[in-house]
Amino acid sequence: MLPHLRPGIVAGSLLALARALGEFGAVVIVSGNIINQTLTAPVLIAQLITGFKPEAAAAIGTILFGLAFVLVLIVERLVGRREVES
Amino acid sequence: VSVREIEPPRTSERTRRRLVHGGLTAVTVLYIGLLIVAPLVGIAIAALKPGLSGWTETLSQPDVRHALALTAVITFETVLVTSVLGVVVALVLARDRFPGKRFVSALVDLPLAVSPVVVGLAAVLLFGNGGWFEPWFSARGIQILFAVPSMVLVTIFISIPFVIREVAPLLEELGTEEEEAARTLGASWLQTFLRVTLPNIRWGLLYGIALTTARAVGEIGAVLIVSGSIAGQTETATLYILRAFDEGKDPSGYMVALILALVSIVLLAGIEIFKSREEKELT
Repeated sequence: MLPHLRPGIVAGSLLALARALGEFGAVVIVSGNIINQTLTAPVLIAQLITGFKPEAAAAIGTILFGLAFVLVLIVERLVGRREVES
Repeated sequence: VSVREIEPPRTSERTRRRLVHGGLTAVTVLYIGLLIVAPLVGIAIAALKPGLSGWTETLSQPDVRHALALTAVITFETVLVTSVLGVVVALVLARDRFPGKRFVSALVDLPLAVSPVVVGLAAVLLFGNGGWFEPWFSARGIQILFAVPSMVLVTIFISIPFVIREVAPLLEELGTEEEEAARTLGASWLQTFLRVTLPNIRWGLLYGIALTTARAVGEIGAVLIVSGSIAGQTETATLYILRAFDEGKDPSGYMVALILALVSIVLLAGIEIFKSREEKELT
């Protein structure tokens, strides 16, 4: 059973990972956004933009975007291969 | 297949199997219950505590009304755009072969993976001071950033995948036989689409629209960045909730949160009910 499910499980986990990396709304409400303690990357980006530091925000944003892009390409490979096999 | 598997399971094995199934069911109920049902019940209790007078007081505030209306407008425009263009993209992805199709298919999923805050940042960099598109729009006096257009734009971006991902598999499963039959019988392209294709994909389309609505109604990250969150002007319902908690108006925040949650739940449950009812009629 597990070998058949593996591509789906991995693809799902990677999308979950991407979602977790980028989560903002729920985190900003519960975390209090304490620097070096509960400040996550998306919340930091939001703070940098409102603090008129778009270059710094763009730097972190590029890293997050790159990660998301790589994850999506891997997911497509996994799911696409499954379609070819079936 | 080994011989042991063909024999009827012994009693000990049957109880073990029952224990395993019971355990898995318990984990499922606990997981969904703790992480999904409990917060929902918590919001409902907190929102209903102030009673009817609290609700009329919150709902009569101009800021709250404006925020809910703005969310409705943005969601409506998002659904309109993503369902029309979503069906087009789904048709292309399901029917056409072209170089780089896998890459396009991967790009469709990108809005699910990329952080909404990064989406908002991209909009700021494109439409803000010094951005690529800023001179063109400012020369024509069109305000994009800190106004509704950019809010609709980012909401469309983060909602792109839902209709496509619900409709494309249905189109692949459907094949082209029925459509070709309609065409050979003299139906025009439009007639074929409206009478043959659309009825076949309508549940997928409706489910995609419901998911789009749920995402658009609940969006906060991208909208916060591009809107400036001006109360009574560019403040959506989710942004109002954020401000309500900041300003210690928790009960109002819970009430608006409950409204948003109910919109999504009623839509998704409604489609599920109608779909199963129609499937029963067909069999």
